[in-house]
Amino acid sequence: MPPTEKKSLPLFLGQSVIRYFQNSQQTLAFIGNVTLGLFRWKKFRWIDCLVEMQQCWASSIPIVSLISFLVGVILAFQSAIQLRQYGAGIFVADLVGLAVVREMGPMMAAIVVAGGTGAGFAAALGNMRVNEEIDALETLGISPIDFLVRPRLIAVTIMLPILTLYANLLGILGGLFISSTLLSISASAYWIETQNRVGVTDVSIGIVKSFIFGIMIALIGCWRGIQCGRDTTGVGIATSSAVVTSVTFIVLGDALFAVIYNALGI
Amino acid sequence: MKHQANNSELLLQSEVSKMPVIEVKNLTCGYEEKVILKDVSFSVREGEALFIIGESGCGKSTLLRCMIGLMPPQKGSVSYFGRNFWEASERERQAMLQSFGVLYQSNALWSSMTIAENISLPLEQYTTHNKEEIAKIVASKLEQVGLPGTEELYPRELSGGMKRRAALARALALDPKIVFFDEPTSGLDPVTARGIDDLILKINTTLGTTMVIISHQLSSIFHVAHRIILLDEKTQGIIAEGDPKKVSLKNNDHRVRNFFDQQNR
Repeated sequence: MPPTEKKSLPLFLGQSVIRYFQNSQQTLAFIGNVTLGLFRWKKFRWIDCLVEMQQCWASSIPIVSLISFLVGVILAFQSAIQLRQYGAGIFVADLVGLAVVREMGPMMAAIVVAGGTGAGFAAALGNMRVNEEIDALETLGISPIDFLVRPRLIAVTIMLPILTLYANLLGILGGLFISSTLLSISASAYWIETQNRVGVTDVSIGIVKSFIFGIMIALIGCWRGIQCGRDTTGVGIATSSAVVTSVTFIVLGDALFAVIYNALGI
Repeated sequence: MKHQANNSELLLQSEVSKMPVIEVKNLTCGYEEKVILKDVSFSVREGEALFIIGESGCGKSTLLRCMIGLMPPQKGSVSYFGRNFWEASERERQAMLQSFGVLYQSNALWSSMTIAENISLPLEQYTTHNKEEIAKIVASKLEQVGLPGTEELYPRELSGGMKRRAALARALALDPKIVFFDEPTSGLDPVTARGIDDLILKINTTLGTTMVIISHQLSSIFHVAHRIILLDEKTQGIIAEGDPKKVSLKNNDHRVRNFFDQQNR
């Protein structure tokens, strides 16, 4: 084995900076290519997109159901303890409704999809890289962006808002369950209070977020997969990296949305 | 050794054009700052079966990646039909890519698609054939490689040798003028490997397809090759070139002798 070459600190720092800029350049080029790909609809394979939508829905629905319902239960339970001391138990519906629709629903659905579908994209594309399947596309002159990334991007961008609506419903039902059992509030009273407090704007705020989260999850998952090295260990690294990066960006994005919505007064 | 130089004799007898379809000039390639091959030059004539051989790590696959457009060279050029691939416009490069097929070592069949879908994808992308015509072409390509009736199977349902044949059918889908093979018989038993060699030879002789084959299987080399180039890791370039029989028997360079002696053991 050849001896490992020792690098001086300036050389190491210099190479790290160059690598960082090269990575940034490649990431921007990827985003640019995907954007351009959205204008190339000739010979788009809708069947691939529908398959991805089906897989996204099927893999996410059980866990989204469970987590969203439990988030609704937790929020209702915690708020009920405080609110009923003031005889304001009915406001649990307001709190749960707003928290779920504006924040928790979009975020929980996005995190579940990032952990399932996003990681799946990274693993699938990473395996394709290792098995030279992406090379085979490139040498046929078929853009991997158009063939692999675009259908996945469209699938998640459509499915995540739908999953978010479903998560919202389950979260509200979780709150209703606690209110009717712990606070003895009737289901109809809870539902009417939720309808009065949660408006179309609140739901739209969550849906806009989920749309952006969907784009982020698909891009990050696919990019990590395409970036994957040519050995199998790279697939594992790409998959975990896709989840960590997606979740980080979802939380950062959510914080940014909070600031923007606050500034807009909505 | 009965089959030695069979194909090279056929080449001499046939009316093969002297025009090089591939020209590699002063090609230097490698990964980041590391140079693997330096100033490599050679050409491939129309209808020729050229084997690129050498020990592991000598840069065979790196050279192939530079030639098929997967890795830009650090220096030098790769030209197809007189046109520099790496300096061509996107549209010209796309046209050049359609003129060659590649058979990968791992087969690289798209695992989520059936064999028919694998073969029909390039046809759907680049031709105006309707579905029925594409189905007919797919069937004929599968017939050509000895895999009739496997259209609806997935790659995971095929054996190693069948996958290799299916991948070859895909590589031939657009009737390419050049086919690149990366270790076409590696990982196969001797009988299956011989079958693949025969198939390559058949395609070369009947269709006149130019072939560039990466391999270190002597049986394949002597059976199929018109010409070989031997790469060396230390020299970072070509150390022997020519008719496989002549190079193996008459070249006295110790590195060449070592390669053939090691392979014969």
